[in-house]
Amino acid sequence: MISSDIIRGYNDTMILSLLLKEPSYGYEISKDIKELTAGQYIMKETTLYSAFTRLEKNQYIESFYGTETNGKRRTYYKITDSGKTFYNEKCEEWKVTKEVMEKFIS
Amino acid sequence: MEIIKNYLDSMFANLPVNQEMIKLKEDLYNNMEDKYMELKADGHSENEAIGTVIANFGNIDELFAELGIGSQKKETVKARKVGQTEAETIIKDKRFWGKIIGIGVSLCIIAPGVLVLLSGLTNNVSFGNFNLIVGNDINSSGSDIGLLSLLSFFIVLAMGIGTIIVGGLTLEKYNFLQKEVLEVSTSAKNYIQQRKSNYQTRFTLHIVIGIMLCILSPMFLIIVASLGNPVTGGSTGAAVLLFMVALAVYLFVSAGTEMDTYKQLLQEEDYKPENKQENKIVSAVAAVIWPLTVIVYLVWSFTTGSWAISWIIWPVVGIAFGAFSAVVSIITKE
Repeated sequence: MISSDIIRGYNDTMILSLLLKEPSYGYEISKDIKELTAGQYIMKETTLYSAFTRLEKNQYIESFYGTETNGKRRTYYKITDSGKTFYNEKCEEWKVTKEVMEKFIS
Repeated sequence: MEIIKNYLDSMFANLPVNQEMIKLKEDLYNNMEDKYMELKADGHSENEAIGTVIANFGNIDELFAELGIGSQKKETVKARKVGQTEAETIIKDKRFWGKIIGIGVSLCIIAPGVLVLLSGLTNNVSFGNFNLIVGNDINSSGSDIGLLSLLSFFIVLAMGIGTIIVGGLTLEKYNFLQKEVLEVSTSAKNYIQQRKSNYQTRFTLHIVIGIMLCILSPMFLIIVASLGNPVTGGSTGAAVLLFMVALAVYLFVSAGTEMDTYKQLLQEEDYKPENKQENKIVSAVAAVIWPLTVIVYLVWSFTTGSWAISWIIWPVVGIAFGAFSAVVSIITKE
């Protein structure tokens, strides 16, 4: 189980990466993260929605109401152009971070 | 499912109910329900499913911090509650007494105008130095009018000051609006917001008229002075100037009080909870500075008779005080 302290700075990047493929909603994103990481990382509900709030405030994502499924009206999120730019910056940042950290990992 | 619903309800219990919160809660609930259904479908027991869903919920404070409502719970303890009926009474009282105080301030400005006008009519130029009027002019009727003008001055001034004191004391019970953190009910907030936006145009109009009166008032002084008798014309002009300024000040005070009431109730601009500390400093200094200015103004004017120039103290202190408040606000914000 991964420590939430370590991953905190990259929750936004994970969500943006999934939204790059297609617009999605809360549960689907948390399920995708769980499946992609084979259950090694499970994003908490509150972490997910903090990230949505933050990303939307920074205009990296936009929300809209999707079509109803199982009688539920869901809030979907889609990535914006500045969200894509931000995602690319975070990817570059991670590459450097990874390079630096690997020098200390035996 | 009832357990998850109750769990979520308890998490949101202390929070303001607004559109954003309802939507957030609904989204969270939908996700939790999806997760629960899937766990059940995967063959987990009801208890297991609920346990997992709640364990994966996380820490609600993380989310509230992001929404900027982290300190909500602490503040509600000492916040002063204001409901719609109270808000209506406050607005009604403040509007009425704001006008009364405006009249009081205007009377104080009109008072020297009355003095100038009445003394001017008697051809006594040095109206400020009443010894001259009373002492050297015993045989003429001017001394009577000199006394009369002086008497009128004090009566009008006393009426003005009396009115301000009564108004100020009546409104004192609403001082909490500026000092305490308020918790205004949603319906009251909507009502106040409505009143405020309805008032905006009239407010702007009053301020603009007031400013125009202030700008035009010296022009009248010049026009009246150049038309008539150089001596009486001058004092009539000065009186007209003071009347115009008094009217302008009435507009500023009454409009300002009403607009301030809305801002206080909505806790906007200067009245944001975080700005209330700074207001305390500024108002403490104001409580000393303004009465002191009145004393200096009256002593200076009466002892030297230089009414023509002594008014300069008002804009000077006004600007200095404005600069002081600005400095305080910069420092406290840092």
